[in-house]
Amino acid sequence: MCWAFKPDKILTTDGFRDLISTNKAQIVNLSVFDPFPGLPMPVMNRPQVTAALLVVFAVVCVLPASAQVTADRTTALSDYHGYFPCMDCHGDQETIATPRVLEEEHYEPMEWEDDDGVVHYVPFGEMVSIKDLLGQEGVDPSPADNLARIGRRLNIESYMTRNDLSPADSVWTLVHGGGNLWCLDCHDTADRDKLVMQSGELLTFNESQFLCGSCHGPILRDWTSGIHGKTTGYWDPALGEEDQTVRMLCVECHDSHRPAFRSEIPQPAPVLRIDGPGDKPVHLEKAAHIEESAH
Amino acid sequence: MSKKMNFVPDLLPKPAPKARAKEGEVGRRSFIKLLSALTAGAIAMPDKAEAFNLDEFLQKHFHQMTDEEKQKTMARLEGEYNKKYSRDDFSVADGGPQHGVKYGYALNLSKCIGCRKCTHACVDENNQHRGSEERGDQIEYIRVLEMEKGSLDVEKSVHDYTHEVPAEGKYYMPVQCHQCNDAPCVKACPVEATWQEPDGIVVVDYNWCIGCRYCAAACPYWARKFNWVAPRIPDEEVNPDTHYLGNRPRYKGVMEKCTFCITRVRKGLNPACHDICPTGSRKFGNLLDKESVVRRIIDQKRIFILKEEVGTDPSFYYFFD
Amino acid sequence: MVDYLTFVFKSIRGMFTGGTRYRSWLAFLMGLMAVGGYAYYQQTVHGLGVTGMGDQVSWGLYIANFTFLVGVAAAAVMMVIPGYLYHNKEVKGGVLLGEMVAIGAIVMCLLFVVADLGRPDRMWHMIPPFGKFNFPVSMLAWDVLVLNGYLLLNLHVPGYLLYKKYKGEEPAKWLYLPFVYLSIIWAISIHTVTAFLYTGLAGRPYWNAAILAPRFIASAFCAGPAFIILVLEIIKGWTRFPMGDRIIGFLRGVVLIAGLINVFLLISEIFTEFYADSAHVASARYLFFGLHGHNALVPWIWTSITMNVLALLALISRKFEKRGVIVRNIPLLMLIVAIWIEKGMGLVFPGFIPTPLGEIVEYMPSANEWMVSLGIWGVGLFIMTVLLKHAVDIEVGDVKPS
Repeated sequence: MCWAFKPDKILTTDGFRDLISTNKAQIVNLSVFDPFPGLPMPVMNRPQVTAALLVVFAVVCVLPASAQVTADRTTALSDYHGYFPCMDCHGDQETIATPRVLEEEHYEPMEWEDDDGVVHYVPFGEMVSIKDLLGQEGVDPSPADNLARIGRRLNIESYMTRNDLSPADSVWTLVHGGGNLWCLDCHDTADRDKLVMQSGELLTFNESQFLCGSCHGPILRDWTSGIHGKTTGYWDPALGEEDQTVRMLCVECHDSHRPAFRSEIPQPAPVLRIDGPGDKPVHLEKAAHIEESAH
Repeated sequence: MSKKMNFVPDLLPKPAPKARAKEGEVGRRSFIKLLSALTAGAIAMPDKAEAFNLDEFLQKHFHQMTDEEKQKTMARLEGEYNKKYSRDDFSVADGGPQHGVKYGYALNLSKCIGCRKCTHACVDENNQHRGSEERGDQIEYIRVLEMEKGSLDVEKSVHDYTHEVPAEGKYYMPVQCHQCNDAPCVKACPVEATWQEPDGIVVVDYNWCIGCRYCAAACPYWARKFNWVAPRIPDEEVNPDTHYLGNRPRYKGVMEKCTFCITRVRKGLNPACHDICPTGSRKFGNLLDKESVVRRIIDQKRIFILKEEVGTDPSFYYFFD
Repeated sequence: MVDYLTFVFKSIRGMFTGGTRYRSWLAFLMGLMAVGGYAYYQQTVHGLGVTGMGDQVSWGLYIANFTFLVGVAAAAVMMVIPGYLYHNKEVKGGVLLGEMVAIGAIVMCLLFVVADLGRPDRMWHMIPPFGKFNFPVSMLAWDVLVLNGYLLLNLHVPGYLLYKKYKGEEPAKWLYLPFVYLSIIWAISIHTVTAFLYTGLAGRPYWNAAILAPRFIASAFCAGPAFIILVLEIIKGWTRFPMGDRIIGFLRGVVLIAGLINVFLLISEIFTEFYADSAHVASARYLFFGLHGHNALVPWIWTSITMNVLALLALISRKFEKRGVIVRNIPLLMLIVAIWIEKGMGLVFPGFIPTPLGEIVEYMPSANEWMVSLGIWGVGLFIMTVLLKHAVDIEVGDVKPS
């Protein structure tokens, strides 16, 4: 449904910003998640630098070997769409016992022939680690600080554990999109610190909601007006300090590689009474009876 | 990160303290034994016996007290609670309603996964009875119904599911007090111990309720809960930040109910069930504010009111998206 | 004034003098009261958790007994109407006795309500101006008002008449007749208001039916007079009270007609519930056939219906009327039991099952609850006994001015 959605006109990030700037509360919330909007990124992570490096790679190593690959990101996208070079190497760890490519190997562009005689080629070279805006490795899209602000007594930890909100684990099983998406639909080919919109516009990880919204338009609309998504803190943000009202981003609740909520064991069921010491709690047995009567 | 809370209530019974005949009662022991046998062991000594208290006995209805009397009463209650729960930080507030605010709640049935976190966060926040040796049931304001897909009939719901959620073919409907504007419980009460505040919250004066439970019979949402025994809360689990009409510790033999966490919402905070919900199904806001999320939901989504035919005009809406 | 105090003193002395049988009966009732008192003490110390009630079924045996006894109390009117409106002399002579039964029943009603309270120490909250009485909005406030009013009416009328009889004077009509007529309306109202207590709850579809109030009245005028007949039989057999032969026959007729109407209303209700088979039928289905394997009330209600029908057939056939005192009263006893079951197991409990959220939790009174109920019955029967003894004493001249 959503992944098949190809809009005629792709809204840019600025377009979304315009869309939501009519909403006062949203601006408050955005500032929570983008605390250092003006901060420069580390030099090595600038897309221009990365792109330049890629061009150098291409000229020196790739072009002589295969003329069909260029350093142009768009070309790379169209070339590799349809099969999964990332997964070919890193594999689904459940189905491939040993990842074909060990971590220390991916320093250079790779080429190999598989059992069917198809030649695979990966031009990307070293996998740049994902960094956040402050240059810290392993960006955590679910800032625990925000969750901690919910309140003194509320426990969200179990939820964090349950949802396993670290994309690093779920990336190997890309469920999102039901097979119609691949890594580079969202991640930029050249700059691993960036997400990429259909328009080609790059986004930081802290702006992922616009990327999500480019497919899930109605949900972004609801999120923008507060109907979709989790908020904590004050029902009237004006009554609290600015950072005490938090609106969670998409990826704070949904694992971006596997967005559906995972099933979990619920908190304890209500107990009618305990008939005596040592007895088990008495629950209703209605469920069993309903099942019986259904047969 | 805040202190980690234990959400597992004290479900398992502790050995009940045995009623023991005191010295000098030996002669009557056999009689007591016989009668104890008759009562089938249903009786055990309460944790902390409630001694007779003249101030409490003569305490007036919340509406009849002057501000001075209210302050005095609340100070007395703070002392009592501090003593009872071995603390020194109890606060009993009586923060009033804000002008131009009427609380409303909307719950997204498409999103709820039935994890019951709201139920248990509510118990922690609102100082409910944690379940006693005698009965084992803790008081819960929120009941999460596992509903059959394709039906809105609560009689087909299951309340005590323990399997992984969300389950195939089911959806989940948490039910709590709907803070009705034409509340049957308020009409039922013979002593006006329960009423609707101007901001829409239906509250109980725990020092005025006589415990007749007519309100419980009247409520179509099964939202009113009775203290069948003296409520028991472990000292370390008690929430000392309380409101006179809300989560202050209750007495044996009185009614209590969800107040949308009056102590939180009157300060501008969301109710505890709202903030704990991992799915963002729960939405809270001011019904009189056109920009509030609840009003937007009413405007933009297809909402429905549970048991609308009963005509109680609730402030609680369900919606799908 | 001195006269009156002497009257009170002599009456009380008369109440507690009697044969061995009489005194053993009183002792037995006091035993019941002691058991009830002990159980109630347990309940006040530990809370209502010692009962079988819970949030799912939040009213139980106490309110069931209360509902039944309101009917018994109201039934005295079935003697007042023929006695005072149709001037049936014989019935008029027995009215006093019916009123004594009513007093005992009302006291039991009030005690059952108090026993059901979580905070009996706060009862003063109902009394204006100290408390807040939610009148006229709360039906329970109405009920408290009409019950206490009915108690006062029934204390006044027989009290005044007996005092005058004791003095050997003609009672002044204006001092009691208006109250007699008032009590007719009032008696209907106590049971109607009690029915409205239930029918006013839109959230409980089982109770929220217009037929409930007529059914209450019909069953009350069936079980109540049946109870009074038993009392009259005892007084007729064991005392020198000048009782006309036709009172009991008349009351048996009342019992029969009210019982038939009650069965007719029951059939109407069952038809409406089950033919339409709407979602609201769950409580009735639970009561009559069981729901999802829960069927604790099924044997009770069918016992009740069977007894009801058999007793009415016996009354219709009139074969039992001429038989011995035990045999001829068995149908009446069956009717009392049947209607007691119908009010408690058939009306109060299933209203809570399933809960408004569809939960099915069965209710079984605890031992403590039975003990408290027995104690209250002990108190009520004790009051009835001594008051009836008093009325008989005055009537036969055992207590008179010296």
